Amino acid sequence: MFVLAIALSVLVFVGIMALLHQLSPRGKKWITILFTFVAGLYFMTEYFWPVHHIKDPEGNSIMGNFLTNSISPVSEYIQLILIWTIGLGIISLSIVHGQRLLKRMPGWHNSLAFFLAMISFIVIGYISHLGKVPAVGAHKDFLLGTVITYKTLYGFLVNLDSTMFALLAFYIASAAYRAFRVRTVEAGLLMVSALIVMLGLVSFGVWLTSGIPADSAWAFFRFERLYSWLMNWFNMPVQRAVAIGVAVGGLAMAMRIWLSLERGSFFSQEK
Amino acid sequence: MEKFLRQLQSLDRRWIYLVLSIVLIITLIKSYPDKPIVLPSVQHFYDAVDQAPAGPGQGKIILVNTLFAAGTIAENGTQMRSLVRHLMLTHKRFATISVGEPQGATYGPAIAGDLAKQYGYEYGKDWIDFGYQFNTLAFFMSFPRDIPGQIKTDGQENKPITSFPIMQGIRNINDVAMHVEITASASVYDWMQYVQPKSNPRLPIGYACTGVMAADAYPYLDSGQLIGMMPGLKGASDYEALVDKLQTQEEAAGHVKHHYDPNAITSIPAFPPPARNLMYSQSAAHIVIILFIIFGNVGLLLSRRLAKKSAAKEEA
Repeated sequence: MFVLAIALSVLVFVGIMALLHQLSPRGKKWITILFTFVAGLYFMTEYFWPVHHIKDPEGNSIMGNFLTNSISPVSEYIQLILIWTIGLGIISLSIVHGQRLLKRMPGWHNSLAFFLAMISFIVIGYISHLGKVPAVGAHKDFLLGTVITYKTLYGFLVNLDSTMFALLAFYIASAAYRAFRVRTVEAGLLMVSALIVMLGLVSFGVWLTSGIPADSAWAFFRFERLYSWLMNWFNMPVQRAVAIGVAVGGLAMAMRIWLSLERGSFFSQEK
Repeated sequence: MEKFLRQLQSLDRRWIYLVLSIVLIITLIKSYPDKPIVLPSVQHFYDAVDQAPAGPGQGKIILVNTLFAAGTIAENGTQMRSLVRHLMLTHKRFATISVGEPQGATYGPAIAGDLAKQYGYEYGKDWIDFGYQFNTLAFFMSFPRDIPGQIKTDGQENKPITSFPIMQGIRNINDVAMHVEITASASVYDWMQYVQPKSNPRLPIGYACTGVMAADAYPYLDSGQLIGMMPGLKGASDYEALVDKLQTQEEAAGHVKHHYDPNAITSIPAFPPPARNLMYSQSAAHIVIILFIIFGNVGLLLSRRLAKKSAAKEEA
């Protein structure tokens, strides 16, 4: 029954896609605009519509509105769409890199690395899932899966990831040495602020000013206090101003995308 | 003299890399635990966890979102370890989840699982794993309203989550006593935007982020949308110091059967040492960077003075 349901779903999907494919570019554009608008309207209405006591599908009393009970199924549907998009992404990447590899175009070895990485991680992912390691000792019977998980995840991926991130320390050290020069008053202020933040966070900095009694009138000049003062009185208002600016810009952008006014979206390159 | 001052201003970056490498290697091999002055935001975080009504019989759970990968495990991993120790020492029931980070879905339950063995926590009764979840708007819209409807099965045994004793009475976000975001990305804003407004009373959110992300969060700490913050390794070190103190008290009172083993995390190879020890390396690295900045500026100032003197001589 389950297999039949999947087969039927695939058939329906292929049928709808074939029908949509017959549409003119103008028709495709309007369908995209319509779906974008309806989806945006649905989530916005659900979020802003006044709530009252309603019953959930299991009969429990919850706060919500007439759309609340449909949120869970819609969310599952969106996850399904996401899974399809992952599939589309894999197909698209395979076509691009496959052509580069077959035609031996410049950088073909990168495409080969892409295929090796993708295929090996898909295989490893499935094997690992069978021999899931765990946190709580479940599924320990499949030893090969456990070994492969350790060798690939902890032995390979984790080390590469850690190395990439650790390199930042060296770049930051070199950049700080070159950037923090007192050439102007502004550069001087920036450097002093950076030094206070660095020293306020490490025990060495705290030790440097530990001679100032914490309850004295001069306690403000302890590095950890200066650090807090800088973060709360200078950093915070600036961050707040930036956040408000970004939010207003984001709202305008969201409205433009929702109403399909944004240039460049949905076939705008097509005449 | 001029040549030396010029060299001081433009040291080859490889010298900086070499000095920093030597300092880091030495301090990582031989380190001492830091004795930190606890940041107020970390103390607030700790107090919020302490007061969260998630104990046995209190009917709620604490949600821990582990959104980090190997690159930030020194910061986020040590934060997670200290937090879970605190939860276990205070007998809080909790759930791990990873919304959008597959590695976090492995690390979170691995750390919790290893510590559970030490503190006698039972999976399904005292803690549970909600596993990996897609990071979509739909998730954030649905999850606060219907937790079992959105999660369905647990991340470890693949069983319906309603079949676990810990989930009895857990229906929506009002049954979550506190949310903790352990993250290396700007994920906490989704929880503040979509989840927190759906809760009544307002869901307290604790923020454990990497050091570089801390500056952005101050407005939300001030507004109360974030109840506390553990910024980077410094935050982890402060929190660890508070938990170590609690552990000592609990051991003295006989409430804890076993002495805490810092090497308890065995599921993740080469898991970082205590955060307080790592702070020793971080302090040393900061000192190196500060010294290089001072060298560069001394060279700049002295060469300017020399240039002025020689200009004055030429005029004379």
